[in-house]
Amino acid sequence: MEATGGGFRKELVSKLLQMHFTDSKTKVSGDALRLMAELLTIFVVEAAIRSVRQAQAEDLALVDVDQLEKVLPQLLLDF
Amino acid sequence: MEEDEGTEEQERFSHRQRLKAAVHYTVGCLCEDVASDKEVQFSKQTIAAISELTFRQCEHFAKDLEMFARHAKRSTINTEDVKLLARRSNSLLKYITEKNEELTQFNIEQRAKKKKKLEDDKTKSLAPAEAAASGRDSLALSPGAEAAFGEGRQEQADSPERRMKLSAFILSF
Repeated sequence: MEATGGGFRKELVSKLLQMHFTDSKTKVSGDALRLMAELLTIFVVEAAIRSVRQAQAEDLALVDVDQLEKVLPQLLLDF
Repeated sequence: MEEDEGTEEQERFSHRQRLKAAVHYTVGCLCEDVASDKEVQFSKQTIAAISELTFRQCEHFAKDLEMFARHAKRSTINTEDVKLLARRSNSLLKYITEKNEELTQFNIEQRAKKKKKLEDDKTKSLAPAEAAASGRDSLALSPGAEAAFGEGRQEQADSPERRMKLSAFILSF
């Protein structure tokens, strides 16, 4: 259970990227995969924390889709 | 023939679903960390929405990376392409650049260690009567060295606290 250390696993990142490549010859180096895993983790944590902030601003204890919707535009502009 | 296409289509679909499930699991773990840190709760729909978001964002990431590599006349995506992907936010770019330097430093250290280990083994196995086994010895050792390499990286992985700090940094930006 090494996946519970938090963050994305290299294999998963590799498969996620490979699925969308238009050229089957495209490969990804090991370091690039590790960096991509880091980037995706940041993306998820950012989405979560920004939603939490929005919920706190609205004085809510439960973060719902509404809060995520409000922070989504800026999040997508930042990535 | 049509049936073949049908099953292939179905297989691709189930592959997609499995990947989505894996992303969902990872997002769930990460959100749990944030929830316990900030003492709030996420609704299940929010976690599902973030998973879907991440999954779709991956498509943009993959296509961008492929284009970047092709623009540099390469077929292998390297860390420079990933750095270019993080160009939109200054603090994110800074963080990714630092992470990249850490990775290269770590790789250099590991390589030096491996080399040293190999040399040590050679001097040890130079003892008489064991010379014949030396080739096999060093071969058997390299997978072990690789395993240690992997573990080291796991330990090096960021603590949630550090990530939170970074996130706050980006937010304030």
